[in-house]
Amino acid sequence: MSPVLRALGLAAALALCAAAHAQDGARGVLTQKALDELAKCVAAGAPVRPCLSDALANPQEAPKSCRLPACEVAAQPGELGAEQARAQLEQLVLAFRAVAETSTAFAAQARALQNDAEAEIAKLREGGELRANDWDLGRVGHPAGGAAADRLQAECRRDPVGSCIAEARNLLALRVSSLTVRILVHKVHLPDLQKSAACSKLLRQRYDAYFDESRFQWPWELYLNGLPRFKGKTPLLCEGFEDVPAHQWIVMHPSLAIRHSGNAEQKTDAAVIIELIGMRRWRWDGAEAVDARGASLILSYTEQRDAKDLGWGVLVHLNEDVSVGLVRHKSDRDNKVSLVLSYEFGKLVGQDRRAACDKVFGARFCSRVDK
Amino acid sequence: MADQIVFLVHGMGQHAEGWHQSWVKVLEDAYRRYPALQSRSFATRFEFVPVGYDPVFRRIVEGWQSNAQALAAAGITGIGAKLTRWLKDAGELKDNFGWTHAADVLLYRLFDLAQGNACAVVADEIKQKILAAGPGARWSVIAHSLGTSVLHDTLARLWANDSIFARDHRAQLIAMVANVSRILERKKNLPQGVVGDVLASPVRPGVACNHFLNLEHALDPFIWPRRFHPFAWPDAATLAMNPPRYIHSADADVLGRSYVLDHVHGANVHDFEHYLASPKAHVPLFRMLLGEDDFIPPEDERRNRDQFPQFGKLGEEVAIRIKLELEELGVHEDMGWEDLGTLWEKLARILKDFK
Repeated sequence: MSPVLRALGLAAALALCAAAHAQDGARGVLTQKALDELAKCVAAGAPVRPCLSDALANPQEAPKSCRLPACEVAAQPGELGAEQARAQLEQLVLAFRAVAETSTAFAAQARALQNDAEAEIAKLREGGELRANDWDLGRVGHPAGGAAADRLQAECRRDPVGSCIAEARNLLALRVSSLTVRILVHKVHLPDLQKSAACSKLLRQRYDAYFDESRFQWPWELYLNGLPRFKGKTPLLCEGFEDVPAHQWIVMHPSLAIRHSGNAEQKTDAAVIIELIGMRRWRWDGAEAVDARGASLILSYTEQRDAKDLGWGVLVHLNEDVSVGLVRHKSDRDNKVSLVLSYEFGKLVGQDRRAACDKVFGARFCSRVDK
Repeated sequence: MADQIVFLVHGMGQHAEGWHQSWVKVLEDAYRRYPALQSRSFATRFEFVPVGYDPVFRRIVEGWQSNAQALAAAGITGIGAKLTRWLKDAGELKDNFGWTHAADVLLYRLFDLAQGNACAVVADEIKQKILAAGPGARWSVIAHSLGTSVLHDTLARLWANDSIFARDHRAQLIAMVANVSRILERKKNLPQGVVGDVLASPVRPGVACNHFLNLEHALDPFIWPRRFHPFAWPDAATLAMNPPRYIHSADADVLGRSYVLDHVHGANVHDFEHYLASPKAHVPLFRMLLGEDDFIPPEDERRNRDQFPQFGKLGEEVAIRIKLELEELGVHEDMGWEDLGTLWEKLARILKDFK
């Protein structure tokens, strides 16, 4: 901003400050007094929008120069009903009309804003959709730069006192009124934003549950489970975000297990199992995966002396970490049927003995285990 | 509450608590150089909110590592060992470029569930903060490198299906620093109503944001493969605005000024801090962030440009050597996203040479 324009702007703001004390307009969305208060903010070097934001965020503790009677309604916590919003918008239409009728530089702009505000009122009456995005300050312009500043500067060159101050005031009125419409629309739509934020939170929690509480996935499983063919049709949860799948495929999944067989020479030993193909399903109850169930076809490998190394079987998933199953290993005399208990031991890596015990058996069974 | 919330979205690699502080510092240092902005303090104008999606990837690779280690510790052999041996170092953070950086890109680009989770985290952070800030809150977002792709895909989802969020919460500024969103874009297998094409999606000025700033350094190897450069965006109305709706720093003339970034103050020209130190990057950034609230006068911009050295403390000789090495990386527009890992390795070698 040129020094001349800056000085003129300051002079205008100071003049408005003086005038503010002589006026005492009725309280409403945009009273004369409110504009004067804002002019004081500008004179104190604060931009309009932040000053208004301060007042809205905390009307009692905002700097004195920013306390706006105009914003009392908007500053009240919670949403705004359509009727209240309509009443506020009608006040704003008056503010736009006043500028349209008195301004030389901003009359056309004020008329357009007045028409738009009237259209918003009509939409509210018909239950139509308001859009806060249409009411950004960008459409009005700033005294410091752009087309609005050029028009203001032209007025200030023509008449440095009268027109300059009047038009600076008009521009300020348009800016504050537009921003107030935006805030009103936000308040009308507050329940929508709350719902949208709750939806995102739920989606995030479901992803946490999917990765932390569902069964561990090796890279190839994670890749496959994300493909449409494996993922299946996932409904939209919010905006363009799909819900988290409620099932997972288990493919070529190696893990460790404990094998027990009553008729084997070595009754209990460690076994490596590979789940060739399997599936686990559950149902989302809020952020929790409930009613989970699943099973896999497995290949088991042990080093029994009296049976073949490789065996086939099925595994049933009791929860995300623990699975039990039956495996049959061929032998020369008879088939050995073993019980296998599998656990996702990877979750225990890096944990001390006590933490590992807690994880597997629960804290109440592990009170005597040393770290 | 500050005047504006500015979300910061990081790039690839591991990001510990407080990672954003160096970003904020470079912005604050730049802010102090402009007397016209000092009527209101930096902290009063901006509240910087770091948005980290890195834990999504760390959780996945650490799970791979710990399970692979458990199998290895049990001494298994055969197919189980063959399948998992390569994952044993996945979660290591030190000197493990492949898993700390390249894997992020791979996970994000190839694994639909990792991408969905990362976007869900970013969207949730943005919404919760805007909700807490109250009606009329203004917000902007600055993303770097892989973060530009994550941010694009998140906003494309938020702006899909005529959403209620999109109706009321256009961002003041979307700033993409070292934009790789085009090379990582996915056009197929997206949720219903989501436009994955970065040149056609709602993530553009006038739809998802008032202003869009695309910063690219001429020597940054990552911006060249499938470069993001929407020639159709800067229409007459866009260019007529002051500050303009859209600036692409590689364009030689925007309102009579050049924003081409070509300074060399260190070997890592991809670094966020290296980008934003230049007035050619931070002046349009501040102008667009402040929009109609304040303005950096042209004379201040000119003075800062004149004072900003082309080669910084490195000295001319070293800087020119770095420049030549970067130019010899052989990057070109036809490279695919699979080449990003190799590019990182080559850049890492240059960084090591000039440490």
